[in-house]
Amino acid sequence: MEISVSHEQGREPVTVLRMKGDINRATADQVQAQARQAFEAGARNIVLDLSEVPYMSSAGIRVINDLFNLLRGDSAAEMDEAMRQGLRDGTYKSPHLKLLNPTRHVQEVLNMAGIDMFLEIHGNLKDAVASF
Amino acid sequence: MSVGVSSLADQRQPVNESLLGRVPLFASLPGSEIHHLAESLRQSEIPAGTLLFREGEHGDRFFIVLEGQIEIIKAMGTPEERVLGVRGPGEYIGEMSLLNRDGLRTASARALTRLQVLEMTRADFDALLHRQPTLAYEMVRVLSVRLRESQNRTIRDLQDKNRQLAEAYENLKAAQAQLIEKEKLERELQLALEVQSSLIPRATPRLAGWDFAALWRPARVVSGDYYDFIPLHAEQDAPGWGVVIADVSDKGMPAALFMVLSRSIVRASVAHPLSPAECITQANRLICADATGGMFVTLFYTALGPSDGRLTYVNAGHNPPLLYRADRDQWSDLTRTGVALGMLSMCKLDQRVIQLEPGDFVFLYTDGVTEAANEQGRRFEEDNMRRIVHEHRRAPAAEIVSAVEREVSRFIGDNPPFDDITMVVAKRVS
Repeated sequence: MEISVSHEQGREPVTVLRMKGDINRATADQVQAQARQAFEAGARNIVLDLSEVPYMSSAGIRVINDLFNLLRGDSAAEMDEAMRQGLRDGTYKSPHLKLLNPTRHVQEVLNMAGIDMFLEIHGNLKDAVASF
Repeated sequence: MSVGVSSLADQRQPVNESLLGRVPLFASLPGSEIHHLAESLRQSEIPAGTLLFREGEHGDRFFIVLEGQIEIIKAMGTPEERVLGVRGPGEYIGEMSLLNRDGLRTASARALTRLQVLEMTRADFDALLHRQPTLAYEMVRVLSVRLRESQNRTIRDLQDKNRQLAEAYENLKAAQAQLIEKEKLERELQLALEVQSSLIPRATPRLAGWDFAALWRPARVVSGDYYDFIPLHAEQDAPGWGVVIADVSDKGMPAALFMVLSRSIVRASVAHPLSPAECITQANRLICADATGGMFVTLFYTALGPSDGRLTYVNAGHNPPLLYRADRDQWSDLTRTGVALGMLSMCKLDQRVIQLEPGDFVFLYTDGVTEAANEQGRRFEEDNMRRIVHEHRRAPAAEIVSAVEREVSRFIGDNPPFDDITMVVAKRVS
């Protein structure tokens, strides 16, 4: 598993974590540690680039959920009524974490766990960065 | 081997009288005696490493060191070997065996460096003591110093040994305590498994027109998976059954505790006379309130009407169960209707309704089946599971479950299972 970190500037500064390799029980801890490191270094808007992740197990879902909670925890004050309504209606999407270009298999895993119900999935980096 | 008389005799050199006068043992002797000694003593050169004599051998001479160093070794060549001391120029060694009644060497002596020594035979030594009895005082003085040194060293050695023994005893005690603690933990884990196992239904429901089977196989001592059969609204005319399969995101004891929590919450939530979607939405809110540490649980729940074959299900991010339609010999997946429980507290979960006809069944499983890996790291995969279930689609529920279990076990071989394996089959037979 290789993870590279880059920075993009849209309306907001965006950190891009580009994964290369399977995310499974053997590599999940490494991905989680790197994501947490990016958060601790100040990243508050993160794009997970999954274009080179051929396989993801439930361990990958755990990592994405952990990162989602980390970024959400930082914005607890944003929990206004509109957001609560969005969550109830199923229209809420995280403003801080976006996914980029998952492979077909990974897309299926994301759908299965319902991750796509609260995380936006973008087809290219430009759109992902502009969405923050 | 210690050196023999002849080998030393070959290297015999004349003895310098002024050198003799500087040996402390002889310092008090008159000039005539020094002259006599110079004639009778032999001076030898001995290479480094030479064994002068060995402990226990019979001794017939003693040595006075002129140059170099000799080490005195007790119990040489045994685990108890220790160096009693090192003698240098002016000192002498080997006198003990000449004074002892049995004449045996009390220690071994080895040349640490190249040596120049004077040798005195037993006969010369006896004659010297007769001529110069006061020499005995000087020897007794040196002997008593050496005795005190030896005693002190022995006491120090004993103290060292005592300390080592005490340390070894302490280490042993600590190791034993660790062992007891480990056994205690293992017993507690075993008890945890027993408690957890008691939460898994002992038997599948016996319902006319239905055939159920289930398997729960923890990969470690405790499990994050579970399945459940819950009698619903028994007070009503047509009581239903709730069927659950779930998989906690983590492994080991944290997952096992979260599994127990989830099971209780789901059981309590589905007891309400609400729709399955409302019950599981309620369960999700309660689980989220307790889901610290980012844990979540994927869960499939279906309320089953035994008489009409109606299944109303909620799939909260769980691997889609397989639905088999006997009349069309077709398969479909019961895909998600909401997010895994414990992720988003306020999210809404939906439900769907399907109708099972005789011969139809649903196959519920956790990803321990599809992700079971062999020694080469290859996964069992969903296609294999689907193929086996398909091959046994007309068999009784128990056979479907055991066929998949058998194939998974054969596939992983000796590789220890990493993930818990759980399966449930609910088949309508009439």
